[in-house]
Amino acid sequence: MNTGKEDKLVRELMEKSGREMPFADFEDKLMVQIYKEAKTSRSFLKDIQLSWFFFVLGTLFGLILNIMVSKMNQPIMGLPAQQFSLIIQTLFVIFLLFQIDRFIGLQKKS
Amino acid sequence: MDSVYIRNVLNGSTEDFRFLIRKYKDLAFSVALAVVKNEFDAEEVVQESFIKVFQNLKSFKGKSDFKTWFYRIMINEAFKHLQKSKKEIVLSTNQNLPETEEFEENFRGLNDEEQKYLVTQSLKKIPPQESLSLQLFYLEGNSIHEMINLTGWSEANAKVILYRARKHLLEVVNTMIGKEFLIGKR
Repeated sequence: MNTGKEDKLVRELMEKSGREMPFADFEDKLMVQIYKEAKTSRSFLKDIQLSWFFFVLGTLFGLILNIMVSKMNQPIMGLPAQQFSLIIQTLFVIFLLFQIDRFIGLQKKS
Repeated sequence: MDSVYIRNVLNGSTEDFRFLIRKYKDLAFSVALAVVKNEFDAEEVVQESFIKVFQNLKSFKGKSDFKTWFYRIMINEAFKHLQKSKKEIVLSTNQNLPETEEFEENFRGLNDEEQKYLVTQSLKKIPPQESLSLQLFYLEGNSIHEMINLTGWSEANAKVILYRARKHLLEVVNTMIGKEFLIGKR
């Protein structure tokens, strides 16, 4: 069989192959899921906004705490003020970096 | 037209997504069926693809046609589904290409319903990539270049797959005509 004839025959055969979605409730079933998805994504966005708010609030609180600790002169919890301030600052930076990393992940997801 | 509905969906009118489902569900079903070979699996693939499209609609920048973008997602989902189900299509034909006249005579001797049944069943018996290529090239009128864009195949690979697909479809149809229809009619 030559290629031209083969091509014509296959085209003719394929015209018989078109299939329609046989499940009548497909559209409605899918729309129910789409609505669920939309609801989830809306609440996810709300959660992100709330997370940002608390992140900014926490960062401000951390900064104020750091400034206050660095201005103290007497020993705190048995540690010299300077050493205590260094520990607080290190913990604050680690926590901040950890949170930023999580936020970047969340932003990508959304 | 798609872009209007996409914008509406992005602006919060979820119901407008129904338009996209209604417009593409039949074509999507045909393409998914070409790969997974089973109606229920094809339904699942189309459903998962639409959900993925909805979840990622924000990332659709409109650089390509929505249909192309959607098809890429769907073809990907279909092959993932196939891999999960680990279904393997083993081609069994008499390996002889029929003579055109004899083949046409036999095929045209069948009624429309029989012809449709024969082609649908034959497509289920050829490898997924091959039936997909036939679907995209002959039924949806994509060029080789568009097919490459949709599937990620190389040009040479796409041509080889299409060439094999044509041969295999004719072989399988010919074998099935002999087995299921002519014997019964004789």
